Amino acid sequence: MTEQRARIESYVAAHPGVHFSALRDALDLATGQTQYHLHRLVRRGDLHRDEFYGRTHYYPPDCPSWDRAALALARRETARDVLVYLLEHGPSPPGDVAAGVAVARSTLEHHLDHLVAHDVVRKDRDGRNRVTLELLHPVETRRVLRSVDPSLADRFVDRFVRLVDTAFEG
Amino acid sequence: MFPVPNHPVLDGLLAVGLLASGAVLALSLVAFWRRRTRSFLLVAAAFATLCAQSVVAILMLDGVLSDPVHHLIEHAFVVAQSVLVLAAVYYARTVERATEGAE
Repeated sequence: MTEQRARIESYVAAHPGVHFSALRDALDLATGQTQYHLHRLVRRGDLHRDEFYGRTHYYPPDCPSWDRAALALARRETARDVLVYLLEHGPSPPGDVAAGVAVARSTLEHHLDHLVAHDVVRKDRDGRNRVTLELLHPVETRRVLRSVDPSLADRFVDRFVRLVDTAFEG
Repeated sequence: MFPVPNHPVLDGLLAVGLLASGAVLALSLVAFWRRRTRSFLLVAAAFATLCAQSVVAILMLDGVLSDPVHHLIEHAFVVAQSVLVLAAVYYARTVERATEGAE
């Protein structure tokens, strides 16, 4: 029992922001068993649970609030691509980012809504109301991107949305 | 009642078709759930009819549906799919304009 809980704790420490299903599969546990241990760990304050846009993520207890949101968003492939683009190119207009990442503007705006809401990206407007996208914390963003990889299921959903958006853009 | 030759290739195709269209349907439902736009709902509905086509074919092989009824339903699904995709394209443009306006 405690051995499983220790395994879960160390896995979450190594993979902050991991999804329930990814954790269960990686540790080869049953669903009920995983739920039980996670519930106990969260209640005792040994783990932190957060929900972002319908998915539940688990973190070590000392993970700061900005990191928790950034880690969750970086697990979405397109959001991740947008962050990588902004790290490489610096502040950029949305049109350039959409073209660089090869997504429709509607796909980009959807992800920007989330990134802006959690203070990862800022939308700057100049006097002529032109928008520039900028990372609020580039150093921390680079660190977050290094520590996570989107899951296969996340990549599939992301690519499906991109495909539909691109097909309908016109 | 309606004799259908028990063909292993057809059985295999139907099984794979059901699994594949079910996976595509699941994908489109998750996509709709994330985006919550009318276009994504219509695309998911179109894929639901694709998945239902496999179900109808299997029901016919099991003798639940007659061949003429199966035939009629399959063609009705083609109409439904086309209308759903056309509607999705129409609403996509409306949403696109709304997004540009908000910019």
